[in-house]
Amino acid sequence: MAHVLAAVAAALGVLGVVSVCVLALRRIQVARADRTTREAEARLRPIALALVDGEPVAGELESRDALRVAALLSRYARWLNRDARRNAASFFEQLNAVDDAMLELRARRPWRRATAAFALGDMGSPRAVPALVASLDDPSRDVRAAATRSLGRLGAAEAVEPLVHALASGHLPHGVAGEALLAVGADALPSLRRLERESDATVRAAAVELVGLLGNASDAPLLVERLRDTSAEVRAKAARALGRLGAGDAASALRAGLDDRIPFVRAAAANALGIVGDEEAVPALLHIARTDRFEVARAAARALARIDPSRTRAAADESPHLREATDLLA
Amino acid sequence: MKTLLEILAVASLTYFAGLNLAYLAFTAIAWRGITHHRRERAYAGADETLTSPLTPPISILLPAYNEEAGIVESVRSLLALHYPQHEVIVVNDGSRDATIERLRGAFELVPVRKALREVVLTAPIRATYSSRRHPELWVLDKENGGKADALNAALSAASYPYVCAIDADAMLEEDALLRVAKPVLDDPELVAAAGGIVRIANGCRVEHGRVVDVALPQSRLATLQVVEYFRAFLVGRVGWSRVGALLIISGAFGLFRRSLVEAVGGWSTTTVGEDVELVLRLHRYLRERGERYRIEFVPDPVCWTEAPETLRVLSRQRRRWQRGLAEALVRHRRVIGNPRYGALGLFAFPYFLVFELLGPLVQLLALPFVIAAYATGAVSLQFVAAFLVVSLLIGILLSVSALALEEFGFRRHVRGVEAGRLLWYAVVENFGYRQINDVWRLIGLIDAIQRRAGWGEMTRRGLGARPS
Repeated sequence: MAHVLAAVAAALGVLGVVSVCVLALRRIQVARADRTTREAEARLRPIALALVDGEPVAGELESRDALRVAALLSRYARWLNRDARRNAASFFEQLNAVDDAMLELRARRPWRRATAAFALGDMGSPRAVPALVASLDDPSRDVRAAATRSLGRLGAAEAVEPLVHALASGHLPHGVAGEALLAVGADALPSLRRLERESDATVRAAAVELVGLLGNASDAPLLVERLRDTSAEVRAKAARALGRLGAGDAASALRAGLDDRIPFVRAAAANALGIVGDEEAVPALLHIARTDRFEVARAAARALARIDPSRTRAAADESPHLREATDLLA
Repeated sequence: MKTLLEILAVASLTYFAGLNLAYLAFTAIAWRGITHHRRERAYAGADETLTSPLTPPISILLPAYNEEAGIVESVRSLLALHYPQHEVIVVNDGSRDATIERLRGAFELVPVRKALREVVLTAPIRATYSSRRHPELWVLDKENGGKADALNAALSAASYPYVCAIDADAMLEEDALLRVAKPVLDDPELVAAAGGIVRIANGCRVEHGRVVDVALPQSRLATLQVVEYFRAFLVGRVGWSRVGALLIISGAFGLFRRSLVEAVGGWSTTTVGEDVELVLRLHRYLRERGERYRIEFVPDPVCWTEAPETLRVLSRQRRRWQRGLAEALVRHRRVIGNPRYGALGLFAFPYFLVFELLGPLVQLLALPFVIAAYATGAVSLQFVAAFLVVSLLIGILLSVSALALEEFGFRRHVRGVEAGRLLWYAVVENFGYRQINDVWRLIGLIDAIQRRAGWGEMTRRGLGARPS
């Protein structure tokens, strides 16, 4: 037994020494890599800035440098207008970087596919859209997430339907998909409006929420229709969307939402009525603030304080929520 | 006698083999987890996706007891966190110092009679305040009831669907809330809770409640804890999180779905380990209902905290932790070995019972057993020597692995000299520090058996005032 332990000890000793050496080498390697990256970025930054400014850029770049330029561009993403995007896209096309990255989407290792999917979004070439849409079915969630983000970055309106379906099925990270759809912007609205009538309630809920964030007053009638949806989640999201859009015309439908049997729908309706400032809702809101359950009563009291501060003050002692709303008015 | 000692010596050896195999397995799982996390950072684009209007708002719950020295900075830094929508609810838990006066002065507090949900009964709340300057700040002034009671009071005032419990002396990095919320954003239906990493701020340069320069502590005791925290968080929590049986979300920094915390009755006021106990209750609640869920550890949102620098304070902390673990395991003993609770019942609970709770007892007894076995001739001197060497080498190797995880995954200590110092402490901690820790944990276990009450006081030097 002692011999076995001695052999184990010797093996552990060797392993320990090797680990320490690996750590030391890693330190040196990382320090070098950091220096190389810093130097490369300093060298490539003028190219990235020229692309941001929409200036033509020519030249040869290694594929690693092309990825670095793409990464630099992602930092300036919010300043990239349509021309700059087109300029960047033709730059990466010239370098064959788009084709290389699309080829990488078929790599064996998921992290390589994800890195390529991510970079394609920053390269700005619309040619990558079909490949990225196909990547939404990748077995790796990371690849799907990176492809989603890139489709948003490319403003790919044709990807809206697959994105919403993938989002509703839990196939994509919720936050990434939502952000990508918001990034597509108003171009996503026609598809989202169609999806408001999908048979799957989760799809309808996602579409309604996004219409609330991207849409305009003309979306109110469709959203009002969704206030009568069979799914409580959809009804609540429709109420919130109408509130966000400040749809005063929808006030009477929202007032009906105050009688919904599901508390969070009533709370969403009360909140929306507060935003649209519907004075006709005051008696119902007052009643709810006095009698309903906590979350609903609080939403009603806050809505009431927005619409009619004096009625709120007068009713301050009638419920803890009205008292809080009154104190906040002061 | 000789045979008995032989049996005990072999039993000790088997125990050590089991324990070290478990550690090695977790190190391997954690390597996989951190490697994936490191790669994911390159293509996740977290910052751009996490500032979306779809991000769920969060209520930060901050219990404060005698925190006059740092409360204003803490609250300011929490108000300034990068997150689309959050509120901060500070609970002055009957402080005997000027905590509430400091808050009133700094944030222009005005009394507002806030409606409270009162899902969980708490000690009486004397007053509630809102801030004129920061509408997203609420302060509750209540009679003393302990940390869990203060958290429950804050829970009753929370407006948002997620709550993040934070220690008053803890400092979150600017993007910590965004990062800890990432699992929730990705899978809002599935994720019930998430915790971030706690790192030791002693020695770091702190400005306005933020760590601006990461450095190792000057105190040897605190530096030993840096290595220890790497092992606990980067190996233990990453590993347990990946097997879906995370039992601990640190009380210093944890995010929870509010409706679930309310459904299980809030934080328990009858244990000193309210953080572990809450997570166990959440697991049980969700498992018993057959719901799909995840409780996750996220390794990159950082919460900086002050570590004890004296043996007296550290011993109290460790005794309290061990007592909290014992109370939680005893309270939920029906989970142990119960297949109904999946990995939780079959792996996590038995592991925590055998290796974490009873570990100090076995580890402290193993050495006398082996020496006695040698004295009676049951084992040879070579065996005793080899046993000691193997134990020490495994301890060192595991600590070095934890350092390697930090180095490969995060590399927060960039100075080469600090990496060398950490390596040295990874070796040194095996000669005395771990053994004394076992003694404290054993006393903690005895405290639990004797049901000794009280948290003990943490003497803080105050991080903001200290030079780097």
